[in-house]
Amino acid sequence: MAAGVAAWLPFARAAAIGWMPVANLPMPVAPTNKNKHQDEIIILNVSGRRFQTWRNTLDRYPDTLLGSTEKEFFFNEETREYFFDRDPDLFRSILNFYRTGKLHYPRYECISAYDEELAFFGIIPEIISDCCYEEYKDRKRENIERLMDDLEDNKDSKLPNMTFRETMWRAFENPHTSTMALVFYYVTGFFIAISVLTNVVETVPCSYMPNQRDIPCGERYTEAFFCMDTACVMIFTVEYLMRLFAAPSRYRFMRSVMSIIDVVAILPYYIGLVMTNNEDVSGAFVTLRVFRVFRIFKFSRHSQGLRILGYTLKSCASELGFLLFSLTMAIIIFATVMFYAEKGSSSSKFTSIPASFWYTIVTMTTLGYGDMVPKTIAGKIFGSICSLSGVLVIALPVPVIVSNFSRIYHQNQRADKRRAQKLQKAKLARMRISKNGSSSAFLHSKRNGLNQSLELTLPYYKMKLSPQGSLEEDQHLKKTTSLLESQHHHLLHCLEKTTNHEFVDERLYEQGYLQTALQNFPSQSPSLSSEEGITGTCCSRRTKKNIQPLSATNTHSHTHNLQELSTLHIQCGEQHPLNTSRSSLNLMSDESGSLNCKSSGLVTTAIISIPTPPSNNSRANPDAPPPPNPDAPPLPNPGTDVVKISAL
Amino acid sequence: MGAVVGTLTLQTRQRRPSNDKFYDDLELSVVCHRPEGLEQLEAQTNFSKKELQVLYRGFKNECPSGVVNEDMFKQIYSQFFPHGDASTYAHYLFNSFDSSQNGSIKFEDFVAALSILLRGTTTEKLQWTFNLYDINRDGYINKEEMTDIVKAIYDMMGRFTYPALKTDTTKQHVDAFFQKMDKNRDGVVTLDEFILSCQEDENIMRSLQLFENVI
Repeated sequence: MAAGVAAWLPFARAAAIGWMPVANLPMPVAPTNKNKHQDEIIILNVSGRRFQTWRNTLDRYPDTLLGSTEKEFFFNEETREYFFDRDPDLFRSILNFYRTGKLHYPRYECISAYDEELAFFGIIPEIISDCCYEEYKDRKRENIERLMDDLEDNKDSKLPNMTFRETMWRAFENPHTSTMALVFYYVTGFFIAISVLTNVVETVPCSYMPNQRDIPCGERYTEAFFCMDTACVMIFTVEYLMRLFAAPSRYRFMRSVMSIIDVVAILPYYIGLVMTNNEDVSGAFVTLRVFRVFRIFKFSRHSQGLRILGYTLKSCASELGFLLFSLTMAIIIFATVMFYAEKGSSSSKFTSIPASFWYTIVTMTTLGYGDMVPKTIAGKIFGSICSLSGVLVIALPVPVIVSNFSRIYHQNQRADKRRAQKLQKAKLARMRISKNGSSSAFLHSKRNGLNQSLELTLPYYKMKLSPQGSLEEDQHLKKTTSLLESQHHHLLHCLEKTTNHEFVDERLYEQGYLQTALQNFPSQSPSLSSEEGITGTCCSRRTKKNIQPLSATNTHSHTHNLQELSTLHIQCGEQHPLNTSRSSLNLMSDESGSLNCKSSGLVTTAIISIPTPPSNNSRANPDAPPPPNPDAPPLPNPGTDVVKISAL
Repeated sequence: MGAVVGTLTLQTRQRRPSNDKFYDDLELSVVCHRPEGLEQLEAQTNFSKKELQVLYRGFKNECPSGVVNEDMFKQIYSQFFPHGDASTYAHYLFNSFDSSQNGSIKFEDFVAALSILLRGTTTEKLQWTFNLYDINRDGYINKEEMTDIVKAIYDMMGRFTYPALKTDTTKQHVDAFFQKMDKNRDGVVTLDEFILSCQEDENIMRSLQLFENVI
């Protein structure tokens, strides 16, 4: 419960008077404010600057330093004030948290100083309010990244116990770490350049003799080029094999893009070696030589910018796809139009629609080769529309790609999307936690029997039961729940009494649901007798009239009762921790439960809950009107009293 | 293609005036209210000056503008009942607090109702409760009104209850209530019947005194 609305709790409790005439059960006693004194102003002296506030304001958050008795350690007897030797500027936002219920993060403050202050005063950073939470998380992440960068800079220093393989891999990945790596880096770069140059020069025509037709140099100096090619491929092969050897994960290395480029670069040579000068395959062989140009991509290991370009294109796949799609659409439209416009004119180059594609592309990209021009007036009109719209269609997606490129350049941007999703998830998680916290706090205190002490009438046997070792627990628990919490729980308890139903968590709800489903089946007489047999022998402390007729089943008989309920199957194992050791009935059911668990995999069990102390209504007011739900058993204390009687 | 782009821009321009209206409404709704003087309130209610000070500080903290509207009221009340849905009951509460029926609770209304609930006589408390149940303010509680109220109370319990809520739980509860309260069996409960029946039931009498020391 947000302590900001703590001021309205008295009002909510007063409004509970509206439930009283509707309720059929007596209400629990209200928790008393034992140390009821007038609200006083306390002085907090933080490094000389005095802050004053009501004591109640600080008591709103009892699990922080200022709200608990921990602040007594800082109490100065002579000056009657609490002295803290901390930063007064940061203390302002902390005190405002008590006043308004919202914790703000001032932007000009250092993040680690702020974290330290929060830790000192016992406030968890997760409750920073939404207006400042994003900023806080951003700064925190930057800080962590800075720390990690500092760590990484030290990582490049050579660790003493690196194997030869690891050294080689480090040399390949970071060329600036050692001279040898640098040399290797430059040598491979040089040979890539040489290889590419060779491929290019191979096709330049060198005249054999002045008046003979030109043949390309490659055919003139075949051996020289062949030697050059062999040398380059030797170097590349050696490099690839060395990388393969040094890679920490060879399978991952072989799947990476760079290694595929390497393989594609050197493969044509080997294929060419294997194949002979066969006429049939030489056509395919020529095609393969084209792949030698892929060697130029090996440069991307040497250039960061090339890698970023490749990454951009990969990440802008959707924009590129859109560009392609819109262009295709426009091309088809205009080609069709131009074809039909030019159909009439003679000697027109627009012989078919696919033939007009070429004209459309050339016009839309404003190239305008002029090999195909429209001759009719309609064709010229549509041709001009085509070129104008071409500019627009191409200009639209390109800035998106450009902005993507600049976005990727910023390192933070890549983590932005991840951060946004995490923020949303964290926010939902926080809301869920705060909601569950207040609801589970009540259920938790119920389970610990705190509310027992708030009963209006304490039956005799209850007094007998309580000293069984739970006294210390009670005291401990009373310490940790503040007055505010106990008042809130009292309010919820009144609501339970008004409606004659109890709050439970989901797990127990399922069990209770099954139990009521069982009760709807008419209990046959043998089952009643056996139930009384159970209660007679084991529940000596209970009064029989409290156990309302349940269709309890004995362990060994009444299979037919439960076969109708064969849809219910519950795991045996998890229920055992709930059974207390107080009643012998529990022990008996433990054995039977385990027995049945072993015998069948799919256990059809029934969970019947018989309360260990009976509830108040039967003892407290015998003359009260019957509870509105006569089928329900008397209210047990859930969680500790669920007894399992299992049957096959 | 240019014509297409032109028509698209025309469409977006038409949408803008609606945004401005939103801002106009926002400015008008911020209303501030200051309560009457402390002495007057002390005379009108059963609280002492110090208690009024404490109450006002809490009230003003949550509602700086000095008035509570229904949404804020529902939100505040729902925070005390995280298991279920407290909005229906909060709605009925709001109507009973809002004496002037203008959709907002001022501090005077707040304090007047609290004065009855915490410091009033039993008759006054029962009268207030009767007014709460009598949704249409006609002087009679009939079965439908009572069913609404009881259903609103059960809504606050939420889904996970023990024993599980059945479909006729509310009806049974209302029937039991009418059995107790409706003396002449005419199907409605009047104020006198209500007060009489409640005074006969010592449980109710005892629980009315429960919240004496809330402030």
